[in-house]
Amino acid sequence: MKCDLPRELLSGYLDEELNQEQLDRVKKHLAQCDACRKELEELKKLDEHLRSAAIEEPSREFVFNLNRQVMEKIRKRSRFSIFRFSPIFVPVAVAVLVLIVLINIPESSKIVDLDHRILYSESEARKDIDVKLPEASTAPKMPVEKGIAVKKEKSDVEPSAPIVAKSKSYRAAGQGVAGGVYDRIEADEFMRTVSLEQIEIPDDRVVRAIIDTHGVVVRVATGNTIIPERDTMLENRLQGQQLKPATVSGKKAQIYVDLTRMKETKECTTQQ
Amino acid sequence: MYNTIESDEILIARVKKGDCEAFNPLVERYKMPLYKILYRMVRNRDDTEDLVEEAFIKAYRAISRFDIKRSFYAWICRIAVNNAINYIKKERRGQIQSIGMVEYKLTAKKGNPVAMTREKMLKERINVALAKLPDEFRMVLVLRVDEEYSYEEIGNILKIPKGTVMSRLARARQKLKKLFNELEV
Repeated sequence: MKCDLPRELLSGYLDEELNQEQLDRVKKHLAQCDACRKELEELKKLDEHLRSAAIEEPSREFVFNLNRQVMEKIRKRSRFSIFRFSPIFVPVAVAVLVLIVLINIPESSKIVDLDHRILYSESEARKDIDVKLPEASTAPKMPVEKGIAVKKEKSDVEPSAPIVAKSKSYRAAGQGVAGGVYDRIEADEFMRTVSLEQIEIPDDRVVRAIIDTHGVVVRVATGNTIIPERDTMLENRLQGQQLKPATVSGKKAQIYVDLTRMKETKECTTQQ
Repeated sequence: MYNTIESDEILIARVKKGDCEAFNPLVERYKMPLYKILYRMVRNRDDTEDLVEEAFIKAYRAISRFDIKRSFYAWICRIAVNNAINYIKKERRGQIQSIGMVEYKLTAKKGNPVAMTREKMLKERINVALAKLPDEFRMVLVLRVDEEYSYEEIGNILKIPKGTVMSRLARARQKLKKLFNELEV
């Protein structure tokens, strides 16, 4: 009789690793195949020989010194890496380092980027601080970017001494954006120094601006309260506007102002 | 000093908390079982001893990732076997056959074969046959026959499918049988 039983089934049978179908097949085959029965016996003996195969005894040094050698290496390692068992050590250390670096960056050197999202939390707790607000400057408007010149009328409002207002300020929730933390200032006081006609705030949009420590409007954004958008025309009209630098708690500061709120405030005042 | 009857779980929990001394009883407990399994794979005492030490150091480094609900021996055994596989692949590629032949020649010269008992001769033959067996075959045979791992466990250790374990074991047995029979005087 020709033997067609795969060898791996015979090996699997020896190891008791066959499923029921394979087991039935092997049993049925073994019942009628002398060659496979003989080979199965040979494989069993081979396994017995394998189990009894001599193993060279380990050295005395291994038997008596392995513990000491392993423990010495482990102790040495533990001494130099006390945080090795803490998987969160590295990310926490990196976060602390980044925080230290951010805290030490001067406020004026922080990057302002309105192309990214900035979140505003209107409900965030506010605290009172003394703010000296920027004024409209008599100086001519600075050249507009990209060579586009915009003719500006002189402001009706004469510049006055810096106003010291008891105003409310809070840190914008978007402080994580590009590392910037902007002091936001209520616009009602700011309105006294800027002409709305000159700024020409669109009625249907929220317009915000960033004024740097030298009093220059550096960035302008529009859009809803969550996602700022770019408006090139508006940017060309407003960017480079020279104002008197604002001060917060006696120090020159880059500020963020909500021009829409300024306009609404003025309209209310006019109606009254 | 730690009580040697303390369970693996208690000792490992202490090691995980930073008490490295609790690792010492684990080394004492498992050094010989690991030596036996690695010797059968590597077939060289000095290399085996080095590999056992490396296995304990690697296990200690990775102990924070060890799931305390699982068997520590199975875990460290897997580390040791994988380490031995890598060692054989990198350091001893192509040397196994020659080592086997050297052992065989030394055995043939050693003493008078007639004076050796039948049992001793059989052990010599199986040792030489094992030494001449390709690494991948010796690995599965050691894990299955000596350590009695299931096909699934062997597949996990060697990172091969269960079906491959089955076919490799069958071929390993056929090859070992052939080598063993060739060595018959």
